Amino acid sequence: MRALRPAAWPALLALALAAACTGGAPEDGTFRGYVSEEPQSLDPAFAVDQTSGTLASLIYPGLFRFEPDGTPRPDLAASWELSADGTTYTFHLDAGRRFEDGRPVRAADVARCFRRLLDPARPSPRRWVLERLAGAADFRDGRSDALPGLAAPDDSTVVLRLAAPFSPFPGLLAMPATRIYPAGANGAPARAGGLPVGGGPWRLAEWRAGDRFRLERRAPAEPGEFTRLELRVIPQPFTAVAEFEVGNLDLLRVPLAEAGHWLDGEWSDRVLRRDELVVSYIGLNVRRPPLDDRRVRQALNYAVDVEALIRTVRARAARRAHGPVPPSLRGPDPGEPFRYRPERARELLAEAGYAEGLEIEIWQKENPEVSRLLEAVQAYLAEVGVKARIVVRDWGAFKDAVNRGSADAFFLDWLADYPDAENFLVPLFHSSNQGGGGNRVGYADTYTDLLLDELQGTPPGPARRALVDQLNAMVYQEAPWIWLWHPVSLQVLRPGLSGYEPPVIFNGQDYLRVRRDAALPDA
Amino acid sequence: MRRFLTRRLLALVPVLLGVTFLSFLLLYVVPGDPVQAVAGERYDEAVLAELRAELHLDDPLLVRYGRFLGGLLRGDLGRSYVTREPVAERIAATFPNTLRLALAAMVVAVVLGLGLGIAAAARPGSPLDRAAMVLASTGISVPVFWLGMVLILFFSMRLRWLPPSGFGDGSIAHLVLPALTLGAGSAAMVARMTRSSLLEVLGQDYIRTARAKGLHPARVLLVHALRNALLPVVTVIGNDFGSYLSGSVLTEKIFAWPGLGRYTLEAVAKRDLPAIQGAVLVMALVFVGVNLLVDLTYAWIDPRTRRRPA
Repeated sequence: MRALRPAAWPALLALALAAACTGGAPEDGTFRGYVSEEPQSLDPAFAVDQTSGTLASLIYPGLFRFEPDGTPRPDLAASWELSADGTTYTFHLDAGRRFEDGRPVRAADVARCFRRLLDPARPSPRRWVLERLAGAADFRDGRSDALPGLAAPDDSTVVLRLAAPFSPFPGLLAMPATRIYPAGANGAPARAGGLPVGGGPWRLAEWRAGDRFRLERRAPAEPGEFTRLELRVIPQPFTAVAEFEVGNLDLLRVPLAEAGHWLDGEWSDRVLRRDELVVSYIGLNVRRPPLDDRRVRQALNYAVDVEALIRTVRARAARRAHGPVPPSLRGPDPGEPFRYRPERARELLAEAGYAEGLEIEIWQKENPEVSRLLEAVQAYLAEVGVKARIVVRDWGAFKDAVNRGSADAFFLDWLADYPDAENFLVPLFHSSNQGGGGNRVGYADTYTDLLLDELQGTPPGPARRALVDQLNAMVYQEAPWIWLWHPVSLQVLRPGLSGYEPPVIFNGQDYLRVRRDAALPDA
Repeated sequence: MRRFLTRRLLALVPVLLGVTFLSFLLLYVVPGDPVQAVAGERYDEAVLAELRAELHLDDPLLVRYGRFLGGLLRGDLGRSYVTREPVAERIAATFPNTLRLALAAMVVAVVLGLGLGIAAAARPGSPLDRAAMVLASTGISVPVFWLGMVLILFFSMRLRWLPPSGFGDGSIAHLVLPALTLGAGSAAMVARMTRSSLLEVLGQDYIRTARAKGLHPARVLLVHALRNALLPVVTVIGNDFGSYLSGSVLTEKIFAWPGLGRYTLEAVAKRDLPAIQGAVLVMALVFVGVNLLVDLTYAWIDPRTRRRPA
């Protein structure tokens, strides 16, 4: 029966040989990174997800741009001044900056893009970014055609006048929503060959849906710096690890499940650690009993050994959260931290009338890492008589329930829009921001609101820092969240490359300073 | 044959109407609000209402469905709520990739499955038969994501023979691992069906006659027996091919393959109704089309069915 041997082996061999011949060395001058999903939109007014924001920040210019450490640095603005009363910003544009189509970037372009962000006919979910401009509310709601807070008196001057001082405002001007672009149909970014036309550090040269983006450098390059940037779309972290290991990626964001391998193995000295401006928490819906009782919420904080979770679930890649504000944006930790004290948790539950225990639901979106965390939390809570049921939903249903306030408790991360403590306090705890504004636990306290209002108008300095610390400590003690951690990102850069600094904010890396080190050939 | 084809094509209309309406209804009742995906993580509540009005999400279900059908008649699948891009463009970009992967998986299924099945049936009870059936059982029971990861570990990371993922430059190299992952289950099923079907046919009188005439055993097996044994195998292949063409979410995700499955999955997560409707419509069309092809293949394989097309 020799003739009847499986026909598959020769075919497989042929395929394998064909494949072996088609592997390619990386294109010289191309830095190869990746994103985990397709962008929702490359229109800055609708760029609400991380991938969209990352790409928008590479393609389009803005008045400011984030440094990797989160500092907003002038981009289109050659210089700028702030008036003595802290309300009026005057920007003098760099006359040499041009869009990809060759047109110079003028003040009128900035005014057009900013007006569009507030345009009532085309509601942008990011319009809050410019709502502090004088007259923005009337313009946004269609009550007025005038926007007195925005002026372009000549081609190179932009004047932005705020209704009240707000010191983090330059950070808002570095966000993806405030990118500047040439106008196309309906005021959206112009397109050429189906791709958006920008004017930022990189030009989008190719977009293969679901597969990759190829960008070409517009900014001048020093010897060794990359002139092309390729960002592949890789949804699975495991796949990204494989691509990095075989040499197809120059940068890897280490998945938590793999952290041990990278931190302890041959790559350990190549792992870049960075405290991210992010806070991870289990929100406790303060509008729903029994979580409307502060003692119950505090008990839940005492019941969970967060330090142990950081060691195990987070592979030590996190700093314990003492309040919502990351340590780099505030002073010392507030006193009397919630250490793991299950006996204290039981006492508090008994005081609140739950000596016999209670039941809550903790909601999460589908994600194995979050499931692992919540199962551990569930076990800790069971130790003090709290029966927690984990409810897993897809992102759409999860978000709907959490924003409507119909979940008892839920796991979420909050990522900074701009590097200021205000961004971790006002959206998350001001009573006017309940629901989709960020305050998903329904926290409402008049005194806190007063202090938060004061914070927004307080200029940088000791008084503002003291206010931040006071608010952070107040909210911490009220325990509207189970305080978990601020993640530390673990990233690995391919040997032979340098100049990459992990960003603290997702759109804080423009890849312009990454270079191939001539002394160390690529591995 | 023409009447048969006409009748099958006409039957498409109620099928497509039913499928699109059901998916419309399902997304209407499940929790989740598409404007929340559009709005991101921080927005003022008023913008939700404005976005909802702009996207006509406050209209009654039947009005929205009617608008979808109206667009369909004009050949317009609408624009995605989330990306604001025409749905048809994205489907046109991703479907060829899914088709490419599905065809490759089918090659794996047919070559491996038929090969193993024939080898097993040729010597029933032999070590080769047992080995082939163990392999087939393994292929059926192994989860796709596990197989995908193991293949990447072995062929990409250890042997460095094949790229781990992606579409690359469209070379076969990028297709091999996803095709093996996707096609393994079908190959296993085809192998088992081929074996059992062949063994049944090999016991029939006309095979004995063929052998008595002194024909070469290989000719008896491959020419006289195999053709008659293929009918149930074609059904399996057709069904699997239809479902692969609808996008294979897990395989596409593991291998970062830019196909229709991933596109649909993202659309479902974001409750992007026009994108889901467009994808469902294409999937239904493809599935019905493949079934029609299977029926036509029956007629080619088994002349008896030509006389009874119904």
